[in-house]
Amino acid sequence: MPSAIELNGVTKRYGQLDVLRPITVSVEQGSFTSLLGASGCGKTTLLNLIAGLDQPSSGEISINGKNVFSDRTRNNVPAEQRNIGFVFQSYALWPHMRVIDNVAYALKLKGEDKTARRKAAEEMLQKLGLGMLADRFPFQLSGGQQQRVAIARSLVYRPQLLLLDEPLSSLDTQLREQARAWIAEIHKEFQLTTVLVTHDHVEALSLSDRVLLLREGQVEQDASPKEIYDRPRTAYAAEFIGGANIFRGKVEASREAPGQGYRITVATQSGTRIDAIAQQPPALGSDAAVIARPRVIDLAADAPAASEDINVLPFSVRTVLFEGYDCEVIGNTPAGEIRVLTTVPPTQGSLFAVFRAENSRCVAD
Amino acid sequence: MSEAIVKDRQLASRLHLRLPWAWIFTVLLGVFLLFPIFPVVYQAFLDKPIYDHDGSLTYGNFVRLFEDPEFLHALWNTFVFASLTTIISTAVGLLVSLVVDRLAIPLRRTLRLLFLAPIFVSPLILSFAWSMLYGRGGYATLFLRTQTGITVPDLNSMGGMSLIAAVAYAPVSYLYFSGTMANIPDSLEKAARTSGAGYLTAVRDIILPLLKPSILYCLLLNFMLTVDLLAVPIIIGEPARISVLATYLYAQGMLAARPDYGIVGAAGVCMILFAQAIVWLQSRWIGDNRRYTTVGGRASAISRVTPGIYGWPITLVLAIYIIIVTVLPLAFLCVRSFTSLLSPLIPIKDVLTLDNYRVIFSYAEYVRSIWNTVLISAVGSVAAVAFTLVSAIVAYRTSSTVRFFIEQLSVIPRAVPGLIVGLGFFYAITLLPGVSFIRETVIVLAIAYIVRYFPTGFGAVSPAFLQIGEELERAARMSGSTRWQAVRDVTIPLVKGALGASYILFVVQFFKEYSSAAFLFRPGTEVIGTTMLQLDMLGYLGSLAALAVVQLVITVPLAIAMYARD
Repeated sequence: MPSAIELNGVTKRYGQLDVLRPITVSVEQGSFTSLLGASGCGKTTLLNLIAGLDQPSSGEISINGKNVFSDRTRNNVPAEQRNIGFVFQSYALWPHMRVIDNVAYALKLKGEDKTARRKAAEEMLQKLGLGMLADRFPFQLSGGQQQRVAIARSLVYRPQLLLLDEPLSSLDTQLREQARAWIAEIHKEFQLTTVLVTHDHVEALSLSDRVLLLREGQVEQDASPKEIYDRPRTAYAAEFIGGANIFRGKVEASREAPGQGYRITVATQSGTRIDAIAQQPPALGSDAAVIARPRVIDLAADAPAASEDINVLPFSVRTVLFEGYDCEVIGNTPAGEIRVLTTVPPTQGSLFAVFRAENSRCVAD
Repeated sequence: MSEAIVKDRQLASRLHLRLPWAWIFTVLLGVFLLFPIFPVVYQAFLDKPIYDHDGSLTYGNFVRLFEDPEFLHALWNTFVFASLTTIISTAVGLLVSLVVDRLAIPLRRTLRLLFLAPIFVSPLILSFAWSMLYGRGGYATLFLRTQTGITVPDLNSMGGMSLIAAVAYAPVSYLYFSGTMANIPDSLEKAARTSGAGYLTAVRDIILPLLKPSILYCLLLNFMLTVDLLAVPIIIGEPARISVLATYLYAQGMLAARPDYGIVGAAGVCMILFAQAIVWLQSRWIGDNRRYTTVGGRASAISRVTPGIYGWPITLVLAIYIIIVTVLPLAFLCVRSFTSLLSPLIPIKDVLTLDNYRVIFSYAEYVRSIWNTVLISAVGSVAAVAFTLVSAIVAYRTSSTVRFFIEQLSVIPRAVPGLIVGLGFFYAITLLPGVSFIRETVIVLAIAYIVRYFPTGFGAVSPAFLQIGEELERAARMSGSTRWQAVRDVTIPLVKGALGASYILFVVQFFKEYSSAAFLFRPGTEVIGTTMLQLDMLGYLGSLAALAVVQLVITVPLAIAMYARD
């Protein structure tokens, strides 16, 4: 079976600005892929290129094995002929049409007769639990309802793909969590290849089976949610996905460690030595960053014996933020400021931050 | 007392706002804006001229009016003229907006600016220029007939009048659509495209329905503007003896040796009722506005659709329209102003002269009319801006009830024809004791202009006030500033841009205004517009062209500064 989406060297330039550098990606049938990144990273542009709402500067795009854009053959299938469902960040419900007409519009364009398209639209609304809203106008709906109608509208014509452009960002926190679960259920039910654009790593990790982290128009990392969280390839990926403490320095020692890859020692500018593991051995003396998630660091009143398995840094508490279950502690170490997540609030100001080498990762910087 | 009002009061007292003053101001504003209507209505029901103190109330004027076949004829003509103009102007404005605002065609900005030109060139000048070029015996008409044998349709006809008026108002229509279009997010169009609609289908199913309120509003606005239009009927219609309400009123009230005050008043009342009916229709038709307001999400910049191979052809069509409609006539006007006579039958070097300008600058009354116009525009506009600013502050910084009333009041002059404004002030001055001296100065003209263009200026300033939010001022007050310091240090600097824009708007409008001046001016207070009407009547077309060029030279740079922005 061909890939659902095939991007081959796709770029986009606006004047002098490279919004997307060559991107080559293939997306599997029925998968759920997230395009994750900060604003301005090119994620929405990429989604628009797939939908045909914008034209690449170069490269090729195929959908289900059929070419829809190519700079070589000058082929460009317009958006309306690509049969793609698109949910806009603002939902873009047509304010002058009732919900039922919004949903049935695409079927009308396909030439289906009035009763058939009304029936199909009603069925779709029923399926998504919106049956009672059919005769309302968009301005009479809540934000969450608008979002569901927008999804109903893009599913009703059985598209080959579903593209979601930050569909949750206009909702408030509580609704957002409900809507997230709801989107996961939709994907399970319809088995439709879905691409989600988001800047929220929790959305990306929880919904998708593949995350493409974009940075300045390039793919920073392309991996499964578990992989990208556990083994970020760069300091940026670690910070963007879940947050992390970063210790920057130079590689001082490196040796093979069975079952873990390599054991690296990094010396920070202040002279602190931190041990971590790495997939690939970095060159001695090169710039490297050690990543330690706030949750893997413990705070201890007494310093345990430091060894090459355990990093111990003197830690002075600056701020304690109680967050319910967790407690976020911000403080200073000789290697810089760090954040620690603990369930036990600290009782004194001078502590030791302790974390195992195998729980921290060294990446090239 | 409703809850809202109680809340308002509480809020106001907390902020130490002096609500009574706001209410007094609101009432005065209402009286000021409605002022020109009262004397006209009063005169309509008087059997003697308004300055005659022994007149008694009667409805006889209306009886006489409706027995006058000329009036009934003018009424019917007005309806036909306004309908034709409205349809053409709205259609052109809509089409151009769809092209210029939604498509990335070549030379987009230049075409847009040139298309807007008739806004700052008054319909008076446009009519002169068209008449000299395309009218009976016009240069282009003669040229085409002698060189190619083509006979141009007669411009001095109902069709010709409507065409010129439509051309003059098409930019106004365009601006309305353009404003609404900017608020329709392109995601709505894109959503239609991903649903399977092509560009034209998306325009038909999404954009046009969303523009429905604007289309209705635009139709009514054009209708009203045309009812009020004096220049085109007088210059294009009169030679063919086509009279409309405006020319009827002008002939009866201005040109007649012994004006029939009662008839003029009654005709004026008819004109007001006509306009009010239109405003009422508008509010009835549109219904719940929210159906046309886009909901949810953040607005983003609108990306224009690339028209591909259609780009240049569209540009070409638009360019040809602009050349025929504005560029050629205005260029012709310039050339004409430097010649004693211009005809395809006489070589141009034989007729070159500066005499037209000599005439304009040697007669005291002509020079005075230029000077008066500049004075009213430059100084009167300052007063207009100050007045608008005060109204906006009272409206948006006191209570929501005051705001409601001021917003409602602010549109009233839109439904009062310019001729009526002039007539009303004219009557009022004869009626009120102790104010007759201002009739000898341009002050009375400036006041009439301010009333007439208050809706335009207020409309330009109020969005800025709505945008900056009261929190900014409250923050200044929490930092220890007084109410007026907060306005002075926070609000005014933030609305400076809008105030500047409204100043230029006032200057341009005041410069080209002639209809409210038609009744009000007298020797000593002539303005360019009234002088032009006189020169036209005397047949001094060369000097007329020269005066028009003088006006263009002064206003065009201002207008470009105003409208060159997208």
